[in-house]
Amino acid sequence: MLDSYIKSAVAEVFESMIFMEIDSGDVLDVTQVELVSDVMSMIGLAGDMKGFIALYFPERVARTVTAGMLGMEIDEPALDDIKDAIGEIGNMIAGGFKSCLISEGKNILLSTPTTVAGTSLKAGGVSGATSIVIPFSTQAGAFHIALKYIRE
Amino acid sequence: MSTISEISAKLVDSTVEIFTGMVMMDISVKNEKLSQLGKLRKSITGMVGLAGLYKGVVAIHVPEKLALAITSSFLGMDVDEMNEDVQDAIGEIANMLGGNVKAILSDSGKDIQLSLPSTISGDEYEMSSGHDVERIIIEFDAPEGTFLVDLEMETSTT
Repeated sequence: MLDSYIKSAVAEVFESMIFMEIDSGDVLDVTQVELVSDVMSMIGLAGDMKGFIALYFPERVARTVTAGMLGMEIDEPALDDIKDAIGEIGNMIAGGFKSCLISEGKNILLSTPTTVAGTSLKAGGVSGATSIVIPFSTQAGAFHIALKYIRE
Repeated sequence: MSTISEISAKLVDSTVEIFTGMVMMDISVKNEKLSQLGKLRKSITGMVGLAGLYKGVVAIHVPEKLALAITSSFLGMDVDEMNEDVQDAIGEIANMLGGNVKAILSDSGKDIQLSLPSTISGDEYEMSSGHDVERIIIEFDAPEGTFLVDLEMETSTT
């Protein structure tokens, strides 16, 4: 259920803002996946569900998605453009997820997005929360979205 | 609401309190007003989101060597590699800082809520703040290095 909310939020953002084809895969076993990326965006969730949504992009995919969103050529976006775009995309996906939860009577609050770019980025969190990891694929390559939460 | 320097001063006190009481480590302020984060190298960042009356992020950025020392002290055991214990410890410290920031920013404590803490680590990374945010970055001295406490708040009230 929750993964379908994320998938529909992603589909909406890609359709309306990025104009790229996107496919989603089955939810991954978080113990089998090591999420390493070059660009990450995280949005905290509070209220009826405490957690966060995190987007994990390899550099090439982040750059292509940014170029799509800003109407640029692939090699045009600067690192700051990419960080801004991925942060904004994360924010919109979290917003879409929030709307889906509202439709089932749950209200969540979003924090501001944090975007990180670097080498060999690894994400972690405190143990004990539920993790849902969804793979997405585009013509430029794959990326992942994780939802980590505890129900209050 | 308090001014930035009032918040900053209280954030310093909170950090010292947490480190003295929970981590059992003596720390002191090195620089109360860093203007930017710069590149973080071989470090781990713990952070927690704020939502509600104020929207933002509270983060702590710690170099690996110090993160191992903090985790060892916090857990009362020797930790010598960057593993899940370190993520848990740094995430938990961020969570405690978040709890204190909640109390600093809101009298009732009910109109600001915290997300789950998370950690990010890497060989070299940069963290972007959003636009229209107020940012406080404080540098602290600890026995095995320096670390940063970073509070970001959206200035537009939504």
